[in-house]
Amino acid sequence: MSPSELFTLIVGVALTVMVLSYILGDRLFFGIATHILIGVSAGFLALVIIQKVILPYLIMPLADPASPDFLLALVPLALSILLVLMLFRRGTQAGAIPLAFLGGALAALAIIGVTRGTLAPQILSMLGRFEPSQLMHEAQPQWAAIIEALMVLLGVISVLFVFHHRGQSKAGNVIRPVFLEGIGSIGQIFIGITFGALFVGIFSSALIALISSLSEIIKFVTLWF
Amino acid sequence: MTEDHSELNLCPNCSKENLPMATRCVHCGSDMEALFTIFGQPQIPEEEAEESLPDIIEEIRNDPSLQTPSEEPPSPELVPANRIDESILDSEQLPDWLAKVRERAQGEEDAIGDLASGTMAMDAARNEEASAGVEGEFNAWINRIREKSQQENSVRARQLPSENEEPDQVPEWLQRIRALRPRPEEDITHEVKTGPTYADDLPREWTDEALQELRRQALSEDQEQETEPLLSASASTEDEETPVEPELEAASEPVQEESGSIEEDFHNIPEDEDAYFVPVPVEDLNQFTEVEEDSVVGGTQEEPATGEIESPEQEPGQDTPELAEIQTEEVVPEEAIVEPEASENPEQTELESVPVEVEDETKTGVEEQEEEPEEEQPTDSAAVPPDLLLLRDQQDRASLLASLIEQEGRVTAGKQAVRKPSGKAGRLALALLLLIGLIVSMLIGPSPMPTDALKSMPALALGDQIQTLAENDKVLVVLDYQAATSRELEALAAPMLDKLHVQGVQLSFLTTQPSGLFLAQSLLAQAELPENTLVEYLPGSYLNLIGWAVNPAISATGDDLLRAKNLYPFRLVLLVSDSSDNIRGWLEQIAPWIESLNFAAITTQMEAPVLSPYFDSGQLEGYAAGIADGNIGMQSTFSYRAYRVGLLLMLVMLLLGMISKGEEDAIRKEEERAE
Amino acid sequence: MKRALPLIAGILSGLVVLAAMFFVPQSGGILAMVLNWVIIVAGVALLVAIASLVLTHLRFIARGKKGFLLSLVLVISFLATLMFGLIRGVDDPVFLKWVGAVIRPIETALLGLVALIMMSAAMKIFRERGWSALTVSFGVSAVIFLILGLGFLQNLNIPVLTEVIRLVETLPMIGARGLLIGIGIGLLMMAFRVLFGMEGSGND
Repeated sequence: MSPSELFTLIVGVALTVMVLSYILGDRLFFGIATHILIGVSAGFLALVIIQKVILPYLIMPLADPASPDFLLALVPLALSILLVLMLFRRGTQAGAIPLAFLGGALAALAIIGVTRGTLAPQILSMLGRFEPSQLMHEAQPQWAAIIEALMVLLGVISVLFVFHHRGQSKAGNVIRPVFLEGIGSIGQIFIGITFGALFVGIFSSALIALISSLSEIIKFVTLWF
Repeated sequence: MTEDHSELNLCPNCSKENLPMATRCVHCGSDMEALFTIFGQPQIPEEEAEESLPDIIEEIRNDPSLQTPSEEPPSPELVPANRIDESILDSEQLPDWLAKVRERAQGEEDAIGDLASGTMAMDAARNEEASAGVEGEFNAWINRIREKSQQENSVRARQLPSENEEPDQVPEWLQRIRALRPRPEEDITHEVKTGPTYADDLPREWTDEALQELRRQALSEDQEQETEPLLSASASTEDEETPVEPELEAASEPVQEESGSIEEDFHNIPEDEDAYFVPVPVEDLNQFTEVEEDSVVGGTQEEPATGEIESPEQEPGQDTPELAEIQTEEVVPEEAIVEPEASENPEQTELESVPVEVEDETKTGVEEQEEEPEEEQPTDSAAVPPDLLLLRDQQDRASLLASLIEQEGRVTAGKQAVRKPSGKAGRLALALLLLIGLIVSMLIGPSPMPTDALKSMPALALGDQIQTLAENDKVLVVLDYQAATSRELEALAAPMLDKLHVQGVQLSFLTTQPSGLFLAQSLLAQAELPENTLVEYLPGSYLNLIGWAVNPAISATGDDLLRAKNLYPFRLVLLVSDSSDNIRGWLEQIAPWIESLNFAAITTQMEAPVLSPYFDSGQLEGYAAGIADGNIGMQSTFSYRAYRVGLLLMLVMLLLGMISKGEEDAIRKEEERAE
Repeated sequence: MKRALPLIAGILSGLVVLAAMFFVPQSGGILAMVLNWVIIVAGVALLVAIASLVLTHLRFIARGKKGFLLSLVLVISFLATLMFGLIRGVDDPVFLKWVGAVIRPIETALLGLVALIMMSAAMKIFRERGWSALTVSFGVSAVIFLILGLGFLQNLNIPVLTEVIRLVETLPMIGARGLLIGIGIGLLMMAFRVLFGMEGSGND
């Protein structure tokens, strides 16, 4: 192990221990570690943005007034200046314009993207399970496919009903027929199954990270013993 | 409507017939008031009748035939109505019209009228109270007990000067006070001693004005003068005013001074009790004050002449707690109901007046006082002094009423689960358990995952997709993950990249995260790719590529900044991401525009469930997620055993959580059933 | 006017992007140009946020506010990274290695802490939320997926069991699809509100 690697290992282990000291109720070392993380990340992010975004996309076109991109670059320059004004008290209102510009463009992208990328394909996929070719095989009904298609349809509708149900409940107490409540409960079951899988997934990822951290510490300790 | 002519009245002037209720003759206009007499009652002018009301009440009170031993005396306001009713009831010579009116009144509830309904309600309450009380028997008992205890107190108070030399520096006057109220139970009874001593057993209503006046005078005048307003408010008590023992009077003087000094700050409503101030109907108030007064009478009629320091007429300087209680009962009786301990505890106000150094002691006394009634739960009413019995009864009803007031407007669902505070210690224990489990299983030695482990369907599909790629096919690898998940993702991605590299596939790397710039180094090293492999930073992620995806024929600002801007030549985009949102963004914004482009993903296990619909719909060719789909478990540096231990511990914790909740519910149901 | 200008900017940018996507050949490079602006503005917004963060912590240090030592740590690490990067360049392998050596262990350990916290959360979740269709199905699902995660059942190589496992693994997809469609519809409504000027944008 080279001195550089050793030093990297020591730094890594020290920072790991500082973070894990949180479980012992320590706040100082944990705070130091997290503030180091924020400081380094912010510094690195600032560097990357300056060198990879601002300079090539904004400053370079402005450097050549003869270029056709020069005029086009004036718009983002103006918006950027308005944003920078947000750092000062008087310029807080001015920052609303570039942020609104961002919001509007992203909203438009979302309309197209969600419609074409999620809603249409997902609904079509759900309905595609009811195609005769999927449900029948050599003129024989495929009961497993039929049950699965029905289950998916019922599940999705019931989950959507939970959304609707919650929206109405927020508005006020609404008394619904029993069967609608039943559909809502089915939806909750499907959501619960998904959340259970997500919970295990998150724990699994966190566990892998924890094992990695611990293995670094063990590796460091075994170096000396 | 028909009229019975036999009931018509004849005018004394013109002798013509008039309706029974006519006050003047319809024919001659002469006055017919004289005809309207209550049978058996002398005719008196209206004003005179009002003035003679107390006399009537007195008559009734003094009439032994109208009083039963178990019955409480009626309140002064209600006596006339009752008296008239009773007198009429006894008479068999009722006029017909009156009989009809009474018949109707009995038949129709509404016809009774507010006054009559109030009377009935109060009578009912009084009867209920009377059935619970045993005044006749215990009055004598109270006398005996109090005389005995006061004799003891007096003896102790006299002994105090010798004990005053204790190092706790408690003032003499305070020690005397303490000696005079050695038992908290006695303090509880003080509240009922605050009323004046009446000659009769009748309850009196305390008016606000009388109390205010009493309080004012109590602060400024001497003891005898102070009691005058109170006595004037209850005229019949003057004769029974008892002298104060000189010793105790002297002992109480410092208390007077102290309480006088804190008069500015004093208020009888504790601040934190404001929330309990709920207006109640007047009928309810009357009913409650009536009950309270009964207890006051019960407690004061045998007031011994020992000059107890708590008594307002004997100890003006101490008037604040007692008067406060009376006022509280009169004005805001709910408060006394909700917080019986607070209102029944005269020492609470006294706490403010005592020196700071003895505050703890007095607090302890208060606490004891609060605790003791709960500790003593005699089942036999004869085993406790009757005044305490009354107070407990009051307290029970007060707490019942308080709970009713609290529950007003609430959903009457079952009892809420009692939250057990889960402290840091529990969390620490669990965390240490997991840490120790992991470390021990890692120290045991390497435990690689079985090579023939079953992979998920999307992972198998991804493997198939990679197999179909031929030499020189272009694959775009997008690195979109943070350092936190790098270990998991690198372990999944590195073998695939290595495989693609071996297959001769042309790999292009983009990173949408700044951190990808330094994380790519590690990935390339693990995948055994050349160190000089270019990894470009893609600002704005897929936003940067939408223009090209929508219209590849155009060129815009900064086009030459990125080599891998045009996605059309690529066969596959492999998204190495720890965010399903970002993957979804690629599938929503880029995929619909380039149909020839396939998308696959390498992601963490936590994002896998969200991506599964996209795999099911065919938008994702496949994805690998988690430890099972990669070879992280096969790496010697990774302890698969530790991973399993961690999952096992989590499984145990979840099951324990379910079981403990089930047990908690069972216990609660059992308790509810028992209740 | 102060409120109208952001509203106009938002609606205008949204409509331009929509139009550019609908009229693809005719729109030329407008979409790419507008999106480039979006990237620049987003980058500047990030820089402003970082500047604001640093200025705040500098103020803490100047005032000697409680915990200013941590602020000092943050500012020093920020400046050190910035200076090092400016001197060596953001693509310098040594610089990247050192940045990675600091960020990676901290982030990994922070994610590891999540595992420890989830352990205690697992104990409390049912006590806190009680029994309902959601919590019961969540608990059962979590238990099943944890058992599957252990890998014992898969290693048995029983065909029927393998089929059952495959079926169970598809179940989360149903709920996830419903959630995705629901979220998609919600997002769509929100986007329309922004475009119609009904939703607060900008600094709201």
